[in-house]
Amino acid sequence: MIKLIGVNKSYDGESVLKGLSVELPDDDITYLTTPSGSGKTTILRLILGLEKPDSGEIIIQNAKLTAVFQEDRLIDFLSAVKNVALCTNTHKPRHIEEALERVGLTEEDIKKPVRDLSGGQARRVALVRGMETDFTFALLDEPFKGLDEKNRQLAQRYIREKLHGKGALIVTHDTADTI
Amino acid sequence: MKTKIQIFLAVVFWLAVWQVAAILIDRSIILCTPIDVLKTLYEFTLKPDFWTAVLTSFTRIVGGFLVAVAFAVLTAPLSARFSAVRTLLAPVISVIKVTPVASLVIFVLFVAGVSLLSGLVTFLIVYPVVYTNLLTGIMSARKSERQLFEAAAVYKWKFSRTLRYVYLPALLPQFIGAVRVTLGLCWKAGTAAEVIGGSGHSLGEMLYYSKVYFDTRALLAVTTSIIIVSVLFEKIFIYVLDVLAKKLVYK
Repeated sequence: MIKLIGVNKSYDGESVLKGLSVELPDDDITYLTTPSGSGKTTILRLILGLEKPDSGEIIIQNAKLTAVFQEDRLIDFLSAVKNVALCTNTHKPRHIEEALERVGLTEEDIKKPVRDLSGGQARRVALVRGMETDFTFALLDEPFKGLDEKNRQLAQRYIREKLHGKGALIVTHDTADTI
Repeated sequence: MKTKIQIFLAVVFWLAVWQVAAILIDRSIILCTPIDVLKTLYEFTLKPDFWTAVLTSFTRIVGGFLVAVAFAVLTAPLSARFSAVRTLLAPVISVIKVTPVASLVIFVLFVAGVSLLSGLVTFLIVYPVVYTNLLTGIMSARKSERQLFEAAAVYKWKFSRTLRYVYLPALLPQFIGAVRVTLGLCWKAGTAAEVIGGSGHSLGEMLYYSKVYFDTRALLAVTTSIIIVSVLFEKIFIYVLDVLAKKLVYK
């Protein structure tokens, strides 16, 4: 269970979150679709512990968190398989390869250094990395950014399966991002 | 390939200029020909004393260099982590950086004696450069790689994994750059220390005697040998670093 109680956060004196209170269910997906600059990413960063609230409380109980950041944040000289493997506990590369192939990456793509992949391909690697970790609650920030319709559908189907029975907060400004 | 040929031709040109100048001056005590230098160097290589001098200088200078690099690798992360260490070391580094090499040599000679002279002077020349580059590298990596550090924290990477995949790739170019610069400097400073301090059985001592006897051939032959040893060591050291980086980091 993740609960935010009266959370306030400001940057350089400009208030981004004012007394935010919300409870996120740990077995369902919550969407946050507000305009850009309204503090969506800040909420994710606060839950992930990457930033501290100015005041208020964030309670995380019995939740193993994972995240798909707005940026891909991959190790650019490593392959897609290696990037995912670094964040999972699995010792089965085949399992990782299958996950990457499910989101439309080819056998050739997944062995290249990710710096040689297109933006959309790298995005899908980042998605798989976030989803193949051991987690109970996922925080996804604009997860399908830069994906064409076909690959968006592949990624949505993959994520839907991965989030089955788990909790998630999906931050997006595009309602087409619902899964 | 084209560039290599151009460089080779430029070298040949300047050797030819040197040869012609030496022939025109016609006084080998002032300027001998490149061929004379090579002959003298060959004669040196036949004498065990020359190899003793090479080995002595190499051990001391390279020893000082390696200790300085190791010390910088240890202290730069500490300085980056603890501002007290950074503050404590800052004046020492600044003073060493601006002190003339000759003053350093004489000071070390007084304090540590001749046997440690070239090693210690090399250390004092190399350490501040590598330390400063590494410290700057770590501080800037923290900003430039912030997103990766955050990802590493979220995915609960151990420090060793963050070190290998985030810190080292960010720092290696800076580190190799600093090493390249100091590899050249260490031989300049180390042999200068040997000359000033009169280190026995060293290349610096051979340089000193070339001055005493006004022996231009010996001066240029010893200088050539120093350049050869220095360049060879630089090539080998950088090659080893590259291999290690490929095996340990970029794999």
